[in-house]
Amino acid sequence: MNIKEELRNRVKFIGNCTVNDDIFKKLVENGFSTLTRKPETHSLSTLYNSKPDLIKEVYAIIMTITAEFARHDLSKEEITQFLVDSNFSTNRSALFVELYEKNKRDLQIALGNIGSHPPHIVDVEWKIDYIVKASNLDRSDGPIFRIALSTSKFDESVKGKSVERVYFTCNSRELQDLVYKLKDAVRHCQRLTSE
Amino acid sequence: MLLSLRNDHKEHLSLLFNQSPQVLVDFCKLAIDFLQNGPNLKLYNSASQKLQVQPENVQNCIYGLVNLLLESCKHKLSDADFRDSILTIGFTQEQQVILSKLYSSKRKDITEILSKLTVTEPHYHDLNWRFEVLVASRSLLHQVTPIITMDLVLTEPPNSIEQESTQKHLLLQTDPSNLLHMTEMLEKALIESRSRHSRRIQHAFSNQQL
Amino acid sequence: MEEVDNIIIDALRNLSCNIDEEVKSLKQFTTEMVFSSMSHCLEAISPDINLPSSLPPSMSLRLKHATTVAEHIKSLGYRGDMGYQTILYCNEIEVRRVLMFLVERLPRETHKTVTDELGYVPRLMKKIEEKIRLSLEKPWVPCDFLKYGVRDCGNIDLKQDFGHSSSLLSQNIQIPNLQQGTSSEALKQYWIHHLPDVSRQCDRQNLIPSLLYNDNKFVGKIDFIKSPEKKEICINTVDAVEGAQNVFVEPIVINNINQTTAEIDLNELYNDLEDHKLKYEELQKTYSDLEKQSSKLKEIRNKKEQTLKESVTKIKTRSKTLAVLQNNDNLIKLKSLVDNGNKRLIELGNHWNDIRTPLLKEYEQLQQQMEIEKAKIHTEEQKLQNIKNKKTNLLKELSDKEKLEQQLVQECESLNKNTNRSAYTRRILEIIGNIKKQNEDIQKILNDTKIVQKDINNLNGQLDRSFALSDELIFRDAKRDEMARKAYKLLATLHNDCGEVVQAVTNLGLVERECRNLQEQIDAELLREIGSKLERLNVDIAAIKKENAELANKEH
Repeated sequence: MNIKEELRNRVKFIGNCTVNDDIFKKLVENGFSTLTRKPETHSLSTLYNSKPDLIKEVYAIIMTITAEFARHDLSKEEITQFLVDSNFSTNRSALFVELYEKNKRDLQIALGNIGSHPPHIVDVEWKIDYIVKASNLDRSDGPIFRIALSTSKFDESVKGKSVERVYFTCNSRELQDLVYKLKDAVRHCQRLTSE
Repeated sequence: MLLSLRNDHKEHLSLLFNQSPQVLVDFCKLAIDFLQNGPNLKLYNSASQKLQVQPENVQNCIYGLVNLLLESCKHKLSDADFRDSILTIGFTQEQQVILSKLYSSKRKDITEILSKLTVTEPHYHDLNWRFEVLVASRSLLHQVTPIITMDLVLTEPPNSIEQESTQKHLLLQTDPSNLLHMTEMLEKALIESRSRHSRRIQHAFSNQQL
Repeated sequence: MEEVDNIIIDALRNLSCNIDEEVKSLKQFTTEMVFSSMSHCLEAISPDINLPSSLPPSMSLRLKHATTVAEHIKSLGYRGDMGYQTILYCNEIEVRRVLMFLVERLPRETHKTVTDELGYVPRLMKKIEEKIRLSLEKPWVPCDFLKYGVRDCGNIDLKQDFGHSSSLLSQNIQIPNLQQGTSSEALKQYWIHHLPDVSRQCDRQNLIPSLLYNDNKFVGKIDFIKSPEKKEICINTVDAVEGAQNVFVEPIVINNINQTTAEIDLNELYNDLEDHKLKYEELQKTYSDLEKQSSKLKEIRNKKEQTLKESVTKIKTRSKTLAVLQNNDNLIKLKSLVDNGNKRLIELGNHWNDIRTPLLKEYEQLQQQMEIEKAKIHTEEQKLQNIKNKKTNLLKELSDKEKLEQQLVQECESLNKNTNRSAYTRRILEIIGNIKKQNEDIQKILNDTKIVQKDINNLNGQLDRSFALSDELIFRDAKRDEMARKAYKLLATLHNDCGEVVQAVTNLGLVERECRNLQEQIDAELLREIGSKLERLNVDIAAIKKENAELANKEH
């Protein structure tokens, strides 16, 4: 596990700090729901008490270390070890590990959703057209396929997913070519599973 | 179906009605040259000197010949229809044989160019794919995410007539499940286009036109 | 038969029936063992059946259980004779037949795929395979039905949409650091009252990267409207922080857009802002200069006041001493007082030295001891650390070894089975070979008998023909010759007698065959041990009668 010394020290500080167990529990719960993009379970301002600065620090460090754990895909045992080494009481580390186990998949999903990708094809639509008459041509041979690939991509402006369609046309021969190539890819995938 | 030409068009072609087959063959060559390289006034001038006519007349005649081909292709005249049309315009039997040869040799190319002119949307050109597995990212160090990355090459229609059509590369990706779905859907489209129903529609259209 | 028994017993042991190591053939099976192995087999074949694994002592219950087991076996399609008697009064051959039938129907063990605790690459390959297999097998689902583009397939998540994948972008976030002692009071106040939570300091999708990485330290997000004392301003309000952030971003964005009127306006405003800023800076400077000057002046004033006070007190003491010194007696008295004081001081000094030296020595000693203790503690700590490390290492090793052991055990099991199977197949092949050989022998014998039969038939034909010929010849002669008539009669009797002899021989053969059959039947009957079974049956009947009697007694 590769965790920076500075963070380690700060976690140790958190382990020693004088936040009472109930508030600590609420902070950890909040941290998990914030990281997994769920609404916060407790209102933070009610937890501030007399030491808002300490609460803010504990909250931030807990979230940081949680994200680090999930990023490294650590097991329950490794985390317990780390927390105990960082002066966490057994109660607190058990509480943390329990919540971690519960939220690990969601955490890793959130982490996996960080990164740039080309537009991802999620669906395809098609229609078959026949040109009955056109300005330059009386009629064409065979059908024309109008194909729309639905691609999804993260949109910075709306801060969420947006689906964009890629339109193109092709004739029978070209569609056959396209389908052959795609089938080739599918076959490749299938071959991977059978070996 | 018989081709009916405008009167000025007929007039432009009338220069050829009384020419020898050799002259007509030369004109056909000029027309082919026009199709491939555009107008060549020098050649038309020398031809006009040989025939002792105005250069415009020769030029118009070439244009008329090319237009005749275009119109015939546009309406998809069969060889028999073309023959009849040529004869009704006023060409001799001998000339008609030469022109029919020209038509049948250039027909395919011209039709292709015409059909391209109608396309106003991006057209499929090529697809390249590659299979990848994402095993780690900066924020998730251990993961297994199979991805198929694709380079979809589309031909974009030219913005103006002078411009060549451009090729656009679209980088897309998908996962095996969506890939399978996509393949199945497109294959369905292909099968549908070959179904009896589709064929009947196509047949009905062609019959109506003829 | 030995191999068959071995196979059956092995299969039963695999079903965890309690069969002693000594038991080598079905001959040694007791009624109890037969019953328990049958019930185990039935439970393995159809798991929903619930049968007792051993026979109860009560006779009537025994009968009941045996009947149900027999019925189950029958319902599985067993064709032979099957009833409670087959189980309770078992005979080796029947039991063998039943058990073979059951063992054949045992479900084939689904071979569990042994997850190899192998290296990184094979494990990765396995995971890849599994993921692809799953995503190809599962029906397609529109991406809008997926949460964060991820499909939940039991233990495995399949990512089918990357629409929620935002690019990795970390923002500057501030986390209070109370551990650091050097932070100023103002900063603390800012932390307490104005700093928002980390989750509100940046965009939602950028929270995790902002927490994990500090990329923005390297990406030049230069705040070019840097105020002369930025810290002060930031401390003033939260809005200032957020506002400042916005200001940092906006000019960049605007600069990128083409020239528009709005932008020109903005630029003007911006220039104004710059001007004001400059002015502000200048004012700030002059203000601080003036401040400095005033503080200097204040300092000078303070110093002067102090010197004034000092000189006043000096003047007071001087005037007092002057008053005292005017009297001579007083002077002498004072001198002696001073002398006394000096002497006393020296005495006290000596006394103090006497007391101090031992204490100092003791202190030094204690300090030395402490040093030693400290060193000891240090070594102990190191030892502890070492032991801890060792412990974790050992634990790891242990788990590794355990995994290895499991793997080996599994391998061992599979190996065992394999060898057994191969041995069986070898035996089976041998048996088949033997049967083939026997078949050939039988064929040979059959051929021989056929040839003999043919010979016999031939001879019979020859005999008939020669008899007919001689009969005819002698009959023709008999009309003329008396001797010939006699000979004809003799021939007829000879023919009859011979026929009788042949008949007798064939009869003998038949009888012999019958004898052999009977002998076989007798042997079979002997094998069934009817006598002993009857005895057992009698005993059981007696037991049942007894039970009945007891029950009757109880009723009364």
